[in-house]
Amino acid sequence: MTSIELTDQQRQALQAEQGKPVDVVDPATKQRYVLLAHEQYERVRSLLEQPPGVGEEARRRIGSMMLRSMQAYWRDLPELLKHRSRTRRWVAYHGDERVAFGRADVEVYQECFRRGLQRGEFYVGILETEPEGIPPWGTLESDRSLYELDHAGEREVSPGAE
Amino acid sequence: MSKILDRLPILDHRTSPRFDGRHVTIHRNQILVWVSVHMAGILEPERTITKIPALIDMGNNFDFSIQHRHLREWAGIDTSLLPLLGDIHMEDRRVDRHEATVWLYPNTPGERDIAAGRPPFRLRMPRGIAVYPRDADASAPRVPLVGLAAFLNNDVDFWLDPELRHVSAQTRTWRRRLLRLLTQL
Repeated sequence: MTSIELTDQQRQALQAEQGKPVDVVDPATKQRYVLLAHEQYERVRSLLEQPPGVGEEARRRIGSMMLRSMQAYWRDLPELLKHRSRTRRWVAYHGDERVAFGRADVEVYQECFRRGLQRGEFYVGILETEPEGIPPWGTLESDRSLYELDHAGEREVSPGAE
Repeated sequence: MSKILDRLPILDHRTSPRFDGRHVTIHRNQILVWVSVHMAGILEPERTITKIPALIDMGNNFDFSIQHRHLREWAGIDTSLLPLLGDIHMEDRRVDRHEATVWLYPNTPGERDIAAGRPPFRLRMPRGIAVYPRDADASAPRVPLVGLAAFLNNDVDFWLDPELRHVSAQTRTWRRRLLRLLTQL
């Protein structure tokens, strides 16, 4: 990746936004870009490097409030990790609103239910670093497993004889 | 709770254990466990919830995988009740991930039966469960699978005794932490 230095204007804009991305416009072409901290870029890099369409289909089918909740959790995760403790292992988001922290996921779910939130309207996320930078709505990679060998002529033992 | 699986035997012959009026073939050298699937956030499952067979598959890097048909017909849950979280890319197909909880039932020590009177262990599923679609082909697991990730994500120690042909699994206790520390010295 090519590296360039920030101008004074860009630095001031980033400082003013306190870590949030900054919208940058090329006055010559009107093309818009986003300037963001490297740590934030690393978290979304896997999305940018995935082939087009991967994860898109699932994302389209995820409920809008659930997706928004996931995105809020993902956006805040770097900051949340700094406050992780024995009683803050899980967090719930309802859209952009942080609902509760908890020691266990079930604690946080119960708090959401207590507030009248319905399943699919909130997301409960764990306060852990995602090693591959895949967001909660993303596409995980796996292989087919459970290769079974059916032994020909094998005698079956009845359940009562186990 | 400490011990979840207590000398769970790995049989050297094929069996067909029964459950809920059905039976399922378990081949030799497969590790049979009993689980129930529920919506996420439930404090404890109902006593009458159906316990279904699953296999521990350490070659699977996800937490829990099940066919759509098994989820509906065996576990009694429709996927419409489980919010969609994302998907898994597996050999040119996509498998949806749904928000859910899986409960793992302790066995009677030395046997494959569920231990009476002992509460199940809740397996947290931070990435949901994988549900193979209705038109699942041979790539779908014949029996639900509890993958390696389930043990990793739930801090469960797992060990195999090849001589006695059984496995055990338990949550971490201070004794195991101490043993680990001592072995590192």
